[in-house]
Amino acid sequence: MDSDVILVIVVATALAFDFTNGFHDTANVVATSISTRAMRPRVAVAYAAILNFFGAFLSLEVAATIANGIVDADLITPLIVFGGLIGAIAWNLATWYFGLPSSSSHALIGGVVGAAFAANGPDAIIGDGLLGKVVVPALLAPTLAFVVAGIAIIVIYRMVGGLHPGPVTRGFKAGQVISGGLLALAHGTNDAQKTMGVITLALIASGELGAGADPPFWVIASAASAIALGTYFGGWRIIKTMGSRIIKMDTAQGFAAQGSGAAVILAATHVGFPLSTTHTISGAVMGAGAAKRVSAVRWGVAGNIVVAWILTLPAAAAIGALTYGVTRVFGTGAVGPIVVSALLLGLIGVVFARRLAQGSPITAAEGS
Amino acid sequence: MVLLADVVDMGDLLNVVWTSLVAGIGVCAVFSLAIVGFARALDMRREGQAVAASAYAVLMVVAFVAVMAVVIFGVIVMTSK
Repeated sequence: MDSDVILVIVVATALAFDFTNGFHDTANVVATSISTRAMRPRVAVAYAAILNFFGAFLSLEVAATIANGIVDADLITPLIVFGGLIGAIAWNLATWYFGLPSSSSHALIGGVVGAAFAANGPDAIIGDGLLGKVVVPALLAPTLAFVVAGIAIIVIYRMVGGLHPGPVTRGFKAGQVISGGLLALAHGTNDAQKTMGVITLALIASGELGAGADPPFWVIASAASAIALGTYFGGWRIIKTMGSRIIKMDTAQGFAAQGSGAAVILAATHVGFPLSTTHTISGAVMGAGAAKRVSAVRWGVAGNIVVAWILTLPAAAAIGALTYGVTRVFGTGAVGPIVVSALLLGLIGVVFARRLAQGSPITAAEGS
Repeated sequence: MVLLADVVDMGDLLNVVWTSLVAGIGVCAVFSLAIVGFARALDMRREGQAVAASAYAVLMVVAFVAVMAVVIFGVIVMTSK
């Protein structure tokens, strides 16, 4: 009975994480389209939500890799998964609160690593996997996107520089619909699968599925729905940071940033490197801005974003470890997860109430 | 001490770098070509040069189709990973 309750809580928490993932990462794919007025905010967010949903059904390859190769899968229990998810959700909420685009994927990996470390010590962590599959791609993706977007915008300006601005602006607005759609699809494919993988691991750990089983259809459908709903309700705070606080973009820069970001994600996907869509598109936005004029980038904001990237893994790991420790105070039954879930819901209520009291920096109506 | 080459496939790393550069810059350049075709076709039509306008319109269509082909290829890459 206790294990069933824990499993239900873990699945609900995983779907809540998936919702925050969509909510948090909406900005990655729609912010540039909104800030250049290529699309109206509500339309852009709905478009991204639909493509996120369909993207989640495209592939199942990534679904189990979130834990395989980074921690020892044999040592994973539903309580460790629960601790990891709480670490990721708490970090996502904290960075959302401050409007910083950090990586939900790294938050989830950090949370699971922290909880596994707290449960089983350093033997539970596969150091080479963490370095090769998470840390190196985390450094490569934004740097590469920065360079590609920088060169791309220089090429674009050289080609369209002498033309009338009207057709050029209209053309790149249309281009942003395509490049933004591709990013949304890639985001849904990569990120929803991470939640599917975590739920599947919890189902295997609790004996509901056999070892090596694929995610059942209800897991795929619910993960796709959760990330799409999260995307639709959107993280307007981060959209503002991504869309206008780093640089003020024109439509050509928006297209270059989204096109370059999509190219880097797809190239990395093709050879099997997992990477963060958040890091990639942030790097591309900075590159498209810096290539036009270095001073156009608000480096203070960019610096805050980089600090959030660096802190994501250790901070989510610390919260994951702490959460696991707190749940174990109550034993291995369902009491620990119930208490922690209640505390988290209370914290979420306080955070949202404070933010509502301060007012949102951008709304759907503002940019429409 | 763990070397980077021990934990990361350097061949794959280089593949990601050159593919990203070629695809990212290539798509942006070809789409810009479509916009050049679009803008020039409008200019030529305004100036009454029907043949030149048609030629630029063809350039626009060919470049746009090329970009769409790359997008579809990207989706296929995602579905086959």
